[in-house]
Amino acid sequence: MRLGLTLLFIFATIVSSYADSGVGPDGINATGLMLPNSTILTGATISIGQVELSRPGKPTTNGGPDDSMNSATTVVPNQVYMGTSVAIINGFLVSNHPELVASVMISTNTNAIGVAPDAQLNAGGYGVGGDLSQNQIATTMNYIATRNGGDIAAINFSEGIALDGGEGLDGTSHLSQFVDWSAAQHDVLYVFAGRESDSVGDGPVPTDNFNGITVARSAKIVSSGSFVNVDSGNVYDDDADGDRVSIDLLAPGVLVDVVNLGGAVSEEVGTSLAAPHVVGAAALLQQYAKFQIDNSAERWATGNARRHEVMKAIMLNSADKLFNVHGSQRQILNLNGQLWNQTLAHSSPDIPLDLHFGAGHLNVGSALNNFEPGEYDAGIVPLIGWDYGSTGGSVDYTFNAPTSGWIAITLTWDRVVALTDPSNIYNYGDDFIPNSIENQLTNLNLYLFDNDDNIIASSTAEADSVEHIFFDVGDGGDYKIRVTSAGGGSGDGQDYALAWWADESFTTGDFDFDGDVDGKDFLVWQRGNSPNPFSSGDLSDWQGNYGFGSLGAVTAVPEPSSLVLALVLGLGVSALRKR
Amino acid sequence: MVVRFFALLAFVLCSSTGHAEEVVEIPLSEIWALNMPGTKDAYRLEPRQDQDLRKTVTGGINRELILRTGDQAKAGPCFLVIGEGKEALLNAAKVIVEGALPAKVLPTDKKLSLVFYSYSAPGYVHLQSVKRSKSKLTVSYEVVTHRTLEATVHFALISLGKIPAGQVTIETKEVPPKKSYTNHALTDRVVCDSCTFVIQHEGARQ
Repeated sequence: MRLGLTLLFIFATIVSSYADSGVGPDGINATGLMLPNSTILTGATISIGQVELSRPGKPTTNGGPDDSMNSATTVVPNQVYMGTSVAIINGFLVSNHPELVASVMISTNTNAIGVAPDAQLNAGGYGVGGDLSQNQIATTMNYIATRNGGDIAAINFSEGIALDGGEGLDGTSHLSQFVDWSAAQHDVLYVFAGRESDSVGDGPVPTDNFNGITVARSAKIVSSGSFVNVDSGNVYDDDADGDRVSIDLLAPGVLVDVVNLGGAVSEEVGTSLAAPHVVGAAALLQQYAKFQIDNSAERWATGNARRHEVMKAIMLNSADKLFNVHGSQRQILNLNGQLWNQTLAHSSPDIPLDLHFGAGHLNVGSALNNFEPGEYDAGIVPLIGWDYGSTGGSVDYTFNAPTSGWIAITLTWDRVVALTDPSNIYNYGDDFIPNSIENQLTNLNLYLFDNDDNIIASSTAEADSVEHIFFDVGDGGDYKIRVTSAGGGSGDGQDYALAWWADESFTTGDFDFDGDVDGKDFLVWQRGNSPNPFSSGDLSDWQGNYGFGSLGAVTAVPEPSSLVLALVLGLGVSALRKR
Repeated sequence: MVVRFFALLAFVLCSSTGHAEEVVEIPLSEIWALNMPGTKDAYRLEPRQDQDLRKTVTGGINRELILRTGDQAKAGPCFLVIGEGKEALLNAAKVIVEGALPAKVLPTDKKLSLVFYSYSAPGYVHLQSVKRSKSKLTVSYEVVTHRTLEATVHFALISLGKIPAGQVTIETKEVPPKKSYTNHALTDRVVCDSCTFVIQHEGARQ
């Protein structure tokens, strides 16, 4: 009896202490996002990839080779591979780690839902025959990148490889060169787990790549359930050479809900789990883009929306940094306790991103807000939008309205790596033509001008493939963006992706910045995440604007006491709808 | 005379050897643990209706050990709890999850278990051997580096049965890893330290 009571007490303590997963509003804000026809985004119709030493399982009941001990029925890849062959042997080189990583992307388990549960995951293990070389990893990545007729949106790699003799963290290791070559050749977004511990077994390659995204892990604040902090388990000793930083984004990596081999749900830790959040996010954005392209929507006809550079620019540009700015519900501090406006990345034009959190915390809802307006060529542009363009002298984007407050602008482009094989098809043992970074990488620069042609802010890193401005222009005014080439690489004629967000408009009571004032905003207030936490003023703002922006008729503002029950019911219905 | 002296000396030395504490190895297969190969999965101590390990006591311990790593805290000493198996698990959770202080004096008439644990480590903390004599227990572990970019927490419940009165020393000892490894400072921080305990008759404790 006493044992039973003890168990009950401990059980209650445990259950009460775990909150939201990394996918919801407290994580990457990826749930409930919709296509223009109100279909929930789930990654449907989009193929993604995963490469590791070993592979996740695929149940026999779903056409895979693996029994119930070596797979989970709620994590079902489209196909599993060993090296460059379809896996056909039960449990052969299956392990738990790739299963956890896969679950972050595609799990259909309602206790640990994946970011893109309907995406088609192609997962390959490279550890065939004990060959762990960079050549072998590249060969498997190449194979995965060419599945689905070469239409793979993003590939996750949650490992780190030690440098081979003589290699530096300057992008010249074989694997880093492969990644940059393949990203451009196959138009795929590579996503890598950032460094997290000083050990021999894992190394920094290929986190020094130029064309992909490298992800650090955020930790959950247990009391609120929000993923906010840059976790102290990230390690930055092996950062890319020079001023360039390896980390591009922050995503949940501590106490992440995952599905294990066998199908059980647990909480785990690792940048390994942060990276697949970004791959899943890319699948959601790609689903949106594909829908718009397939439906010949205005400003989507070029198909550029699915370019990997666009994915990267959109996710970096919309990342959360400061509370209440561009949809952010959190305040990101680096490990030095600095907000964005206190970092070198803010003050120095030579350093586009922060060493610890890159552009900030992934926010897929905000990314979709940045993505939805569609592609705008240089010229007169709205306050939020993006372009896939090409340099030719100076290229200007002039905002069509005055704006104020924080302006975010992100420019991304590819480093060009050439394969020695003139067929441009990668095979095991192939190498890349030696070249200097200066010859491989165009030096693009990014400026924000005011109406009098004064430079207000700039990002002019010399040896990077990202420029990023996140700057408070203060009071209202007219502004324009300029992209220029300062030589190197392709010079003029360099393709690039540009994303911008210069709209600070905010509806009072719209605490989650989704354009309406509804029950979800009350939930934000209840969690203390409104501008003035738990204040009656914010609650009053919410009550006063309740129903703003919603499609249905509004009859009465629910009282907070009864609203809690309504929210519970509403969220339950919402969860059912998502399935 | 000289021969008799050496014969007597040999007898004494042999007798001393005969009285040396016998060392017994506890098989890993008898140890309940989390994330340690060769042991019994601690999650199996709790029959459950669903597949949600977060709701289990072991899941709660897993979570707490993860959270403590985030605080950059130094792992404390290992500790003893009353009970074996599930009872030991619940008593371990009282310390790790609820923050109860571990007892330093324990009774002779109760079965005891050692709780060995690590916060998020730069590698898998694998038990290599557990050797026991009358007054000393040596827990040897190896840190096996992760190739994948995950961090793992670990704990083990090592059943010791009833222990006679006296002081018990428990030494936790890292054995040289098979691969060279550079960050012993981190290992020292995240793996629990050695500990000592007094075992007393119930009457003597009061």
